[in-house]
Amino acid sequence: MFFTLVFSIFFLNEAYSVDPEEFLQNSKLELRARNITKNIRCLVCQNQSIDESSAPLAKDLRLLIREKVEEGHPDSEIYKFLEERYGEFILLKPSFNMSNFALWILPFLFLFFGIYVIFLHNKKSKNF
Amino acid sequence: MIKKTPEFKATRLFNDNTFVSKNEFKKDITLVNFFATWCGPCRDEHAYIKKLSQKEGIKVLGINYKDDPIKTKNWLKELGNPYYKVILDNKGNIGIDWGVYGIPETFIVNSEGFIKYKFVGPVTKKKFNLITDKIKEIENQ
Repeated sequence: MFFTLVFSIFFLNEAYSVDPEEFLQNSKLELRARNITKNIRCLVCQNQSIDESSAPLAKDLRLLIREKVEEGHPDSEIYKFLEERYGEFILLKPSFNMSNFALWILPFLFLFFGIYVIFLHNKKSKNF
Repeated sequence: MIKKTPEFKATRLFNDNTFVSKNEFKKDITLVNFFATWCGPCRDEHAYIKKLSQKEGIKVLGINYKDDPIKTKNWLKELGNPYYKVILDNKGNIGIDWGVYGIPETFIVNSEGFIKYKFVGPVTKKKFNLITDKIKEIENQ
């Protein structure tokens, strides 16, 4: 019972996402397409990639990506195509540019600031 | 949002002519409404879409998303047809081209073919007022 539950939680969703019929015959192209779909956010479920999602839109996007890979479009062009239509939000890993510079850099600044505060606090504690 | 309308061709619902997007979006302000008969909120917003289609200088293009053409014809017969043209998006590819992720969605396209605004979800009274305001804003530009 416990095993079934654990199996369901971890593997059931995977089983319902990519339909084997979607796979490309050429394994190299399939691998490329799969990598792209793993980096594209499912806009309906949002916390999943379209590779993991069973939403109809995710399936449409998976098919479209495979079609574009088969037609010979490079990865960058496919990402650009999707970004132009759905915005940067569709990328699970957003690009590093001036508009989101603060989002990338601030966590590290806070981390260093935190370490510095702890360091100062420890130093003061030792003096007492 | 300001971007050019995507270029595509599509089948029409009421005749065999091909819809070519290049030939559209040239004169009036166009509302592009993605709808389907299986979508409950589309039925809810239909009265507002009809009201919008009655405004001068506005035309509404209906994009029938993943639907059964016979059901669509009956649906429009029952509720009234506010669209100057209805085109079919059987596979959802036109939807992807417009960046649609859940219907209903409505876009305001200016007379130069640029998408100026996008409204996700059904047109409610509040959204209806917002859309008419935005249309006025575009007309005055």
